Amino acid sequence: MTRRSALRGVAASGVSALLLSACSGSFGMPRGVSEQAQETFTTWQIFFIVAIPVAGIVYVLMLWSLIRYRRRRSDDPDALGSQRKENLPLELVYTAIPIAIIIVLFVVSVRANDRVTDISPDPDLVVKVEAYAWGWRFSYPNGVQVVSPPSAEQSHEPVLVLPESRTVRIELTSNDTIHAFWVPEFLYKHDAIPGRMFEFDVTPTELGTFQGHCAEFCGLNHAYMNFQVQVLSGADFDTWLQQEAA
Amino acid sequence: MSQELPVAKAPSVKPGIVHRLISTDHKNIGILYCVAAFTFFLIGGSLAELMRTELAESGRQLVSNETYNTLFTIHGTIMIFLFVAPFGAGLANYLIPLQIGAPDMAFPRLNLTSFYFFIGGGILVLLAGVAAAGQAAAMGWYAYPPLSEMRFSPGVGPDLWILGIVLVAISSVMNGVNILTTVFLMRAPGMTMWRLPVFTWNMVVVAILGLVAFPPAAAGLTLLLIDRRLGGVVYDAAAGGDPTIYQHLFWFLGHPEVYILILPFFGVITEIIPVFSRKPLFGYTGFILATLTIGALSTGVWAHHMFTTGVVDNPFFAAMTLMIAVPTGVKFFNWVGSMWNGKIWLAVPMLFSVGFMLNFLIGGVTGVMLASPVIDYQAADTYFLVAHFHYTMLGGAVFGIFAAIYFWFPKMTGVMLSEKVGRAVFFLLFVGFNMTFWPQFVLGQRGMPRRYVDYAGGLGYDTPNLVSTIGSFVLSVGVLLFLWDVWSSRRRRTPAGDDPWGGYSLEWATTSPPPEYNFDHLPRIRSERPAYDLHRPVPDVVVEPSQEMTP
Amino acid sequence: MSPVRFGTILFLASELLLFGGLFAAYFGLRSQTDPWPPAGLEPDWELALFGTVLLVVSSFCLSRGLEHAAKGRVDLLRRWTLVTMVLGVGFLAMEVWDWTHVPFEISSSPYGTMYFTLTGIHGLHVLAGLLVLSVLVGRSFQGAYDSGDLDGAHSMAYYWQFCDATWILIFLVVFVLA
Ligand code: HEA
Ligand code: HEA
Ligand code: CUA
Ligand SMILES: [Cu+2]
Repeated sequence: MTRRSALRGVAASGVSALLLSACSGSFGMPRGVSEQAQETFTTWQIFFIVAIPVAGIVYVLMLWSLIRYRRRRSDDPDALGSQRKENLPLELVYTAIPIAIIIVLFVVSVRANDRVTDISPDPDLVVKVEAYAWGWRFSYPNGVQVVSPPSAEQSHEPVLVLPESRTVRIELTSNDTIHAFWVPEFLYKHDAIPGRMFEFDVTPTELGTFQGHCAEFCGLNHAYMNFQVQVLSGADFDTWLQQEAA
Repeated sequence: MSQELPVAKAPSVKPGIVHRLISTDHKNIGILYCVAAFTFFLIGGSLAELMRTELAESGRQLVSNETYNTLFTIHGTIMIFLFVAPFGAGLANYLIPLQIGAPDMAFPRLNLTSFYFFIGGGILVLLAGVAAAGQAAAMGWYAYPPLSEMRFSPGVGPDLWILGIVLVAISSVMNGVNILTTVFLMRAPGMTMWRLPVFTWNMVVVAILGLVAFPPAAAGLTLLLIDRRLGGVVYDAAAGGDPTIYQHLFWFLGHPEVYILILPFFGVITEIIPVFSRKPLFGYTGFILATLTIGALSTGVWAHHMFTTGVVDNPFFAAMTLMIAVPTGVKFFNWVGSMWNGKIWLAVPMLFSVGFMLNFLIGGVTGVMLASPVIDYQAADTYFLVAHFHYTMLGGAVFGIFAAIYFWFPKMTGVMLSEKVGRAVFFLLFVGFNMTFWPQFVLGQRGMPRRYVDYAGGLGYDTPNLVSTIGSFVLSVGVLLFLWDVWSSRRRRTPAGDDPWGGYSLEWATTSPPPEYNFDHLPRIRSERPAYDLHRPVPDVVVEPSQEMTP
Repeated sequence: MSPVRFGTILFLASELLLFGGLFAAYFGLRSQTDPWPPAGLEPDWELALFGTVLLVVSSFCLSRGLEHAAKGRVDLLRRWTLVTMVLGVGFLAMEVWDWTHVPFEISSSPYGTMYFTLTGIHGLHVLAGLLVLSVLVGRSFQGAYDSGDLDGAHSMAYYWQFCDATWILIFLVVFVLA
């Protein structure tokens, strides 16, 4: 009885692993709203598509041997199983297959990594992002600045306004502890480290407002160091920038 | 005498408790380690329950953000440095001399010293957590500067924390020296390296990793302390320093540390699975080579914890990290191969070993995802990561710990734990664990960052967090039931006999508990299963490795 | 090989990595700072050279002593060890003088911090080494080595040689390469 219940628990988790694959091909991830995000999204998709069968096969092997070769009440308790100790060809195979798999995964990853981290020679817009404990300062070329409200536990969050389908260069830095600039919908985060300045490009592909977080623990109000990203059409963005400047 | 040995709160009036605290007998020290470590587990777990309760719903109900930051800092530190690793050390101290047929560890006094360094470190870490308001350590378990510098973390908390970790480091270096010397110089005649029990083999690699990885981290922590207290500027960017140097030094320990946490329990379940499948370990040689490979690779992957810093060569470290999947895979297939065609007896130790495999596999494949820099850009510092490492450390290592307890408790005490209660404990822990941490993968994918005391409602974080919290309560019930099982076993007193499971390695060839110098007489060692040979005498040739034998 | 020696070697190998970590930090910082050491932060390498000589000589004295001991002359082992310790004290005196006279402080720059950390931690090792050697002398009075079992003495000597070796590394890295 209890053995069966244990087996059932075992089976349950195996199944849930497979269930994940059923989820519409996005495997529960945001699809991303920037050109760069597409690369990450596909990479993660590929990893899931590889991981689920791999894990699935191992699960099936384990559960099968557990059920098929379990000792039944009828069996004499001292009965032995096969005493086979090794099988070189088999061992070579189950070493070689994972090697092949990770080579593929490595190539996929590096390709995507190059594209995601690639920065264009002439971005359409450069925004300087400064992280500080516990807020953000977004500076635009024409001197426009957006800054977090002073109150620690932010009632309303600062908004980083970006133009749709233009390549935006983010120049990221911090002036106290380490923070991290993260917009889940961009499927990208980067640490902001004092004394260093990092550059990356993002090309928004969808209008709308998206949540942003500080993702590197930075002390007392880390949990409240959030911000919003608002993507406007190119025209709307230009007018917004004008108004702010005026 | 024997029956109260393993119990944390053994009636302290009993004569002998003092003796037990100063005896240098390796079995005694081993049990001291295990009991102390498990006590830390209860503390660290209680802290976790506080965090989970706070996170059950959005908004802040239970603790201030300051307290919360201390909670996860101490929780993480305890679980990694004061629970799982020392528990492995405890098993090693208890089992290695028995498994290799030695009377004791090479340096008994050093052994006891290292235990008290560990206790001292543990106490300092706890003090760091309860230091006066505004002074407690709250910089996360890897304490990155500048946050951990004086300017941002004033007070004694962080200093106590640093000193505590340094003591633990010293302790594990002593322990590593002791283990390696014992295994290399004190093996019984006939116990060749290629007949060494797999648990001992894994501990050899763990010991080496400890010797290699702890000192550089100690260097990094020393520099941090010098920055904090003596006016150093090594990590101060404004003064020309560089905070990322600390990250390199810390993760050069931090990553090998995770294998220091898992390898002992790879060893444990690799001892258990063949015994309960009534088969020899399938692919012993391959398993040992895989262990050595994991050890070697694990010192070359540290910067996968720094993919988002932009200061390391991501593709290189991605390659190194992905490679570790291969030897670990080999181990999985060793385990499957050992069950295949067996006569599997699903006793409690075996149940927990199965749980280990089922859980760890998920931790493993999600680890492989994190090893891809682009995926890590998204998943780093989210609950996806938190889920990954609980699946490896809790679903893996801790299930291994329970397997080990149910397997060797009879040897250590001479009394059995209850099979019935054990099954219930397994069921509660298995269900509770997956219920707690599976939703955290979802949370991470939906964009919930880690180390957040609070989260906005309506972002899809609410339900998974609630489920996770409920799951963690189920876990606690399981743990409490286990405590009750240990406690009541002393009254039940079901005698264990020398060899309740039909074990393979030498410890099963002596009494339970073993006599002071372990063996009244050593059986002849003709294979990597001496105790097994003892029960079923067989002509030498048949048990030579790389040959089939028919019972 | 005797457990004591084996264990000591393992321990020292591990200790070496403590300095390994510090050197890693040192070079990490060096690669980002130019000039290195920063202008006006020159260490006194002649003095350090003098200290180096003291330590190297001390190592030879110690091994002389052990050779004698191997021939049963424990009294000579004791004498040479004492000479070694005198040289060690001399080295520490050099350190103290140096610390009080270098033209910069721990907070002057990362170089300053690394300078004081490396020399300081090494100094502590030398201090520990002196304690170890005094134990050696003490036990020799108790006749611990009369039996000809010198494993303990040798392990303690390893520690001193280790202090010497690490100092030579520090001298090359911090003083000569600067
Ligand atoms: C016991 C502890 C443990 C173990 C064993 C592992 C195992 C692995 N971990 Fe994990 N990890 C942690 C504990 C552990 N981890 C912790 C604590 C952290 C976070 C620290 C912090 O930030 O607080 C972390 C973080 C972490 C990161 C950093 C994420 C980040 O900070 O952004 C990465 C990235 O590469 C990673 C990868 C891996 C990989 C590839 C493995 C591999 O070893 C897994 C290998 C196993 C398998 C792959 C399954 C079995 C294999 C097969 C069945 C063969 C076929 C499979 C394939 C070919 C895919 N881990
Ligand atoms: C081996 C390692 C290990 C283990 C076993 C655990 C166990 C648990 N962890 Fe752990 N966790 C870490 C290692 C571990 N954790 C690390 C390294 C971190 C990162 C820290 C950081 O970010 O710096 C972390 C962070 C972490 C977080 C993220 C915090 C955040 O980022 O905001 C959460 C949240 O749910 C969590 C939950 C849990 C839970 C519910 C358990 C459960 O397993 C606990 C089970 C419950 C018990 C064991 C309690 C049982 C007993 C009682 C309830 C009462 C009895 C008490 C007495 C008798 C005194 N952990
Ligand atoms: Cu800023 Cu976390
Ligand atoms: Cu790692």
